Amino acid sequence: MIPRVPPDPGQQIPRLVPAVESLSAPGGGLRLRGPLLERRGLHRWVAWLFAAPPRIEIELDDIGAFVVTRMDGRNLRQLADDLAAHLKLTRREAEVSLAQFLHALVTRRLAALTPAVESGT
Amino acid sequence: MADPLALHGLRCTLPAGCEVVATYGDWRRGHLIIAAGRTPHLALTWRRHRAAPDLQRTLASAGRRLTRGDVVGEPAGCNALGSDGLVGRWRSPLGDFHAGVRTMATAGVTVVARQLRPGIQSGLAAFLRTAEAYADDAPWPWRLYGLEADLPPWWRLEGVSQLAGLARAVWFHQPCWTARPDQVLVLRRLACAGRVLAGRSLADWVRCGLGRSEVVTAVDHLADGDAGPGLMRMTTSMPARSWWGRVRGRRATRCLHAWVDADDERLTLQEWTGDGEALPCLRRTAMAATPPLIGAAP
Repeated sequence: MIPRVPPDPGQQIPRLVPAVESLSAPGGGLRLRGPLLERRGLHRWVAWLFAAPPRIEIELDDIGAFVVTRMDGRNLRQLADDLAAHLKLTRREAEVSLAQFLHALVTRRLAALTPAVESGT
Repeated sequence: MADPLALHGLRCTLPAGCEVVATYGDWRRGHLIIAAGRTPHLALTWRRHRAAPDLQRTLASAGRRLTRGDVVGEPAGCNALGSDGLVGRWRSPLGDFHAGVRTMATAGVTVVARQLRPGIQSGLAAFLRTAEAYADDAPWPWRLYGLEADLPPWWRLEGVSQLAGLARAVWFHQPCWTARPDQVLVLRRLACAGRVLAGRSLADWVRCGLGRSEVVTAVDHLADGDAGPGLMRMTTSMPARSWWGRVRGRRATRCLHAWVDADDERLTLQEWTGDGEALPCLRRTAMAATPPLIGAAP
């Protein structure tokens, strides 16, 4: 019986979605401005009724900016190492914090995780 | 570098590159999981008892737990581990698994270590040899999740939690475990001390966390030279926790110590409350032995 080894999630590479704009914010932060949201039919009318914003826009503090500026092809493992060294965290603390942060970006469709094979690394 | 581990009256040295990822149970019996990164490495079980255990039966029971699950292993013999332990080997398609048992008769503690992935016997034996146990009525050291404390006898860990950036543990002082605890100790260790303090002093930061009816009665500061904020000690007074105590006009005392470890940038807060004499500062440096300055008026 040969055990099947699951792929290492640490090799995935996080990247900002191409349509996302990065703007610098005061205090060393970063503002991420997503693309215009495509709404159709009833969804569009409801968004107009409640004055929903046309796009997702978030502001990151200096720690979030530190992570986003390093999303330049580095995989999750390297990002966790950088974060741990920057904030003097343990490896596990950095991984958990990074995972929660990236999950928040991915659910807002501002970032995506690409497997290492597809990125040619 | 191997890290020390001490909890519930046990002390051992973790294998290099490993850390504790989960703990269960209490000082009488329990177990913990040791992992290297995302890979489980060892499971350590302890139990306090008065009668001497049967090492062969204990090892056979540990071996049955090894073979439970996906891996089917066949026992392949056992070796003595000094005069008070045994180490056994089980063959499986994935490799050899090992389990060991060791009893420390003077403290009345038996520990069982099981490998959670195939490994070598010498590693498990070396790990078991580092184990030490302390009697019920002896002072116990605590080294867990970055928290370090050497506590007097009868302090029992009630709960511990580790989050990203925060490790917290609560102890109860219970000389007779059939009676109610009479003292409580809470240790919190926070990461990114500079961001947590946000330019405030330790005393100001602690004041922000006090209750509305809590009154500061004394504040001491011990400077740490050029290393920044040193040790802060604060004593507060608040109404008694029970309604009967409040009717009688009793007040409860809380003693807080706070310090910053500049090397790790960790902020540690020690809280004590209860009857009797407060615990001294548990910071394990020479500063903790320095006599405090005369308490300044809050």
